[in-house]
Amino acid sequence: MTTYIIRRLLLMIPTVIGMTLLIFMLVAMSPGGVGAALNVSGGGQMDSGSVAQQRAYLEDRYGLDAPIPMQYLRWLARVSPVKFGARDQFVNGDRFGQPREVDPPPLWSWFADELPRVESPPEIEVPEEAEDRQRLYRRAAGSYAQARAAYLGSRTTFEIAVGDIAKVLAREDAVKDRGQIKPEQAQQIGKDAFETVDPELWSIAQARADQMVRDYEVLAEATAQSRAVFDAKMFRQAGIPIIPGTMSIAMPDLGMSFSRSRPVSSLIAEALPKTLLLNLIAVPIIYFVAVPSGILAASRQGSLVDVGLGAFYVALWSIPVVWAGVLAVGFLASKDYLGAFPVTGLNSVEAESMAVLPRFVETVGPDGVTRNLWQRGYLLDTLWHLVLPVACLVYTGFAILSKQTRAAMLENFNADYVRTAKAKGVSRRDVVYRHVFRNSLLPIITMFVSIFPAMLGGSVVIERIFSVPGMGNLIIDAINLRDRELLLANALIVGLVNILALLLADILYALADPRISYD
Amino acid sequence: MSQANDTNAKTADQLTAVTGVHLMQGIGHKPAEGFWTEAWRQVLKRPGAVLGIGWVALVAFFAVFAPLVANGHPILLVEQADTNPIGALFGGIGSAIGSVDGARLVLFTLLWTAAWILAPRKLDMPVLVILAGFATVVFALRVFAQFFIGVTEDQVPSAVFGFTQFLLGRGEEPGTTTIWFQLLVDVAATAGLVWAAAAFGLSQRVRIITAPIIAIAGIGSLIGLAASKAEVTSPMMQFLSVVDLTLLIGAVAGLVLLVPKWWGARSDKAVVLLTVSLQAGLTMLFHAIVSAMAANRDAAPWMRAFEQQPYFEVVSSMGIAGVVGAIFIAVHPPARASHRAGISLLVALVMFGLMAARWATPLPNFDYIERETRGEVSAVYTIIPWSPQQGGTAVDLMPPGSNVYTQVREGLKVDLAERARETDVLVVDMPLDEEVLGAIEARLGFASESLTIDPQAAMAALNEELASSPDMDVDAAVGFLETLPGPGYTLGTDSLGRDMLSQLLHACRLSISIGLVSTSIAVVIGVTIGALMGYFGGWVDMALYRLVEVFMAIPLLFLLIVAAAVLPKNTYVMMAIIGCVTWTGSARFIRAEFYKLRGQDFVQSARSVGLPLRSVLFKHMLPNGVTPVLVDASFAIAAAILAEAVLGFLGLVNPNQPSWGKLLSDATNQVGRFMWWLAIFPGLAIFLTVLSYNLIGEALRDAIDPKLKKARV
Repeated sequence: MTTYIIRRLLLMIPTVIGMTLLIFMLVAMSPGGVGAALNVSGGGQMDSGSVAQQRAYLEDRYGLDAPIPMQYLRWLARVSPVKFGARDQFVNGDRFGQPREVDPPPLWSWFADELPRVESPPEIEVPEEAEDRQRLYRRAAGSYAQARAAYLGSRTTFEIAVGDIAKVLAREDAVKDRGQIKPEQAQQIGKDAFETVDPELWSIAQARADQMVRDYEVLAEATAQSRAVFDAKMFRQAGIPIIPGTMSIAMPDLGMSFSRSRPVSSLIAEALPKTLLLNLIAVPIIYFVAVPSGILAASRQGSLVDVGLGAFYVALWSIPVVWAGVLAVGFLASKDYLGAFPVTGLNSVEAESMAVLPRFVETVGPDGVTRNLWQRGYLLDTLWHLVLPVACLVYTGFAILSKQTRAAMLENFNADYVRTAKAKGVSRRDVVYRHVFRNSLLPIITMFVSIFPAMLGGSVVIERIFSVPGMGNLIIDAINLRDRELLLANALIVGLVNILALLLADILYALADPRISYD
Repeated sequence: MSQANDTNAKTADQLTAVTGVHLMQGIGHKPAEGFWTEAWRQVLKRPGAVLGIGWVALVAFFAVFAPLVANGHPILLVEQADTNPIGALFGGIGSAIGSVDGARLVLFTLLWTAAWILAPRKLDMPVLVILAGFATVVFALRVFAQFFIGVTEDQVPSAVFGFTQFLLGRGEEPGTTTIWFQLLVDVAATAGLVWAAAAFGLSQRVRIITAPIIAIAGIGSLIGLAASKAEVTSPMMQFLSVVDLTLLIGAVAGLVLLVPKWWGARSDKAVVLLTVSLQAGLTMLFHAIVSAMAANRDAAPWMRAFEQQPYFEVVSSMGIAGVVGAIFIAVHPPARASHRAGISLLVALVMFGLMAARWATPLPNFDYIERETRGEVSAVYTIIPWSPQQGGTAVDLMPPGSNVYTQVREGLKVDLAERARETDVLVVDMPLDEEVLGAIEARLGFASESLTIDPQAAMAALNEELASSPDMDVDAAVGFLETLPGPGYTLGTDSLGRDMLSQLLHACRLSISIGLVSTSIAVVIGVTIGALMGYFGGWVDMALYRLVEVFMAIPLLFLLIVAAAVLPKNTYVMMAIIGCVTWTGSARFIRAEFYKLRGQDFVQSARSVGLPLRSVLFKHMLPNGVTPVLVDASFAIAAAILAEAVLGFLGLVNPNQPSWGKLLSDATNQVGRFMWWLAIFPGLAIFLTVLSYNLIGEALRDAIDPKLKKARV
């Protein structure tokens, strides 16, 4: 059994990689590619130069400038619990990673004789006080970020200047969509252009190249400074080292959300409890309704009750969740009709100020009289908000589980021991509940494991309809904004829960039924 | 064979008991029923399943015929007021028969029918070749001439120009016509019919049965001629797309082929029909892709240049129909090569004709009602006179039962209430004076900017009513507006003012096709992968099962939403997405079945005689293991429809394709109001369809898997 579990756990690795690769490639295939939402955020006001600068900055920040497979590998390296290279450090909750190398500026040899060289990184004196250390980090990180943005900006304007030269040469094919030169074509353009092009254009390019090289120098210094701070290892390091300096085990880094500029892990930490709350209320309800009705149907097989329950559940199962949700919102929650339930969210606005349990609160009414008014309290308020979403979440589960219960019961009704029991004169009630039901319990229990992931998926739509700020809403927002980090992290978590549930189901089967063995 | 069985059964009826001796003599032996026939009989015993089949049949009916039931374009239109278009058409038939073209049509229709019925069943090879060659050359010339429509004299050498003008039936003098080449085409058609009858060796009976098709085609052409004589047009027919026409033809052909008991077993015919529809479907798919590529503004320059050419439509249609037809010559099921070629060629020809004639449907302009109220035209409409795209005829959405005057009346009520407050006179007591009539006229004039109504005609009708009943009060006058002629919205409109019922009916096509196509894709992928896993086991199984697990790990809805959001919003793409995401179920069923089957003797012997893997997997093993997949397919169709509803609800479907899910999402879109009719009707349609498929699936499963039936307490 242990071998089996280890084998399955190892086989999960390719599955998880395949799953995230699938989602990643889907997003990469979409029009505009990964991070498409970032590109449109500039708006129509800016000229193409500043749009290009902004895009260069964002692409650098989120690593979108690399080729797609490289981006995926980087993402995989970040979420992998096994890390290679220097460990990240935490400064006051911020993740402080090793500063990235800077590539030499493009085409610098046209305009300068040599690149400015940076001396070996300065020695850092580690301050005693924690506050001073943080100040040191903030200064280094701030100037690094500033220098990097400035360098990327001047590099982009330089590339646009070369792109203009290419346009004069009627080489539109060498120019990217925002007027920048394609790096692989630049050398050729330079050779063609050197004599033939208007000196005015050259002088513009020259001026921009000078600026670029200056900014490069500043950046190289800032990088060296920042690296020195990083190498001093004065802050808490992430994870546990396996081979010091090269390999460590650490918590996965889910990255920053493109659209909300917050760590993905904190977004998920906010949303996940709400989805879990919905599901953890829904699953017991499904069991309490479906199992007894399944027993009832099986013990009176073929009767009107059985056929009626079957037909009823098939009908229930066929109701589209979106329809049920819209009808519930429209007829039960909307003020036009019944208006008995809240329309959106998990809490009323005033719920924050309420006590947990219902109580009477002294309130001054509009007529100036103080009354003891009943206040429903936080708990009841939440439950009241949960009624409709949970109702929409549970009804499809009834059909599946009650059908399973019925089938499991019927299989046992056929068994020899039941006939023996009946022949002995055991009462019908005892046959049903003591013999058959107990033996049918196993598949019913293990059903839990497969119901749960299915409901995680199903709650996507329900959370959308009822505006519950859970995982489902987060996922749809991430898709609409092409927020790759958020989407991939969601896929990873939901997928892991699913695969683990499948494994758990198999193990439970084996544990519960000694006839099943995986060895 | 069946004859022999019938006599045996009669003999057996006279016996009191059938003994072994009788059986040995072949008496009283009941023919064994096929597995599926028996299962189907069991399904038909369940009332729920029968109701489900009925509902699906209804949806399928509207999937084909919705454009003929609900269309904003009139069936018949005459450019004269107060003329009955049907009467005009009958008048046109008379003058058509009297004309040269009409006489030619009548004559040749008779000749074609006669040639088809009376042609000899066998002809010598040289005669066959001459007939086929003659027909091919003449038809090729006719197609060749098609390229020269619209070509002017200075663009080509004068000899070529004169020749092509002759082929196109244009006379020497500009503006005149000749029928000589057309007569040649008609004769060639006769030769082609004789050739077809002889080459396929069709029996007399078959030919007599199919002869009405020729006659109907001739009569149809005659009616077309009559319509052009009487200047009656049919905008509805003009605006039918390639898909509409293919479905109409396919539905009729399918009924003719399947319902009567001729030409072999129904299952064989169904397989042929399935392949034919696959060929037609693929042709339409390529047509959609190519026309979208050509219409794309960012298309490659050569594509743009090609699209500008006059022969673009003919060449593209021929290319698409030809390529798909060539592939399908090898795929079609009949064993004889000539039959395969004949079927695929016929389908390719029909599709070519349809595509060349209707490459792109023109942009519609739904101004018929307006022109009719202005008294310019008279028209005969379909039962539901609205098209699903026909929006913008109303300023806001309207509840069921309202018509185009509802909006005016609601506005008037506000006006009159205002006036009542000012003058302190109740609306019911108000005199029907100039001011009230002025308000009505102003409202009508104002509304005619957004509604398709004519204020003058409406006011004239109101004044006529006032003259006939002088004691009419304000309320009655306001109520009268709703009785004015104007098409109503039976089930209300959506938020863009488009008729709901029309959209519901047109969305049937999406509902049927999404279920069938995406489930077929899923079954094909799943069966292939599952067969490989189950047959080989070991490493192949391990590797492929990772793929299955990848798709099982991500919740279906999640993957669907991601894929639908990032890929183009296209109906075909959506079907492919749903198919590619839902195949794991059938893969696992087939894998389990093949595990059991691969050790069995018949598989071992098939392998030992050295059959290729393809044959072992799909000819020997698959028919024995496919049952659970086919039973599951019914539920898979239901799930696909549910998935489409969710995608439509989230706005991730083609915005120009009417869809039940999309309609549903409109119900709560309008802030602060709940449009109950937008929630009830589309939701009910989805629910009933899903329920039907589920009921059919349940019945099928119970029929095939009788294991649980034996259990008794």
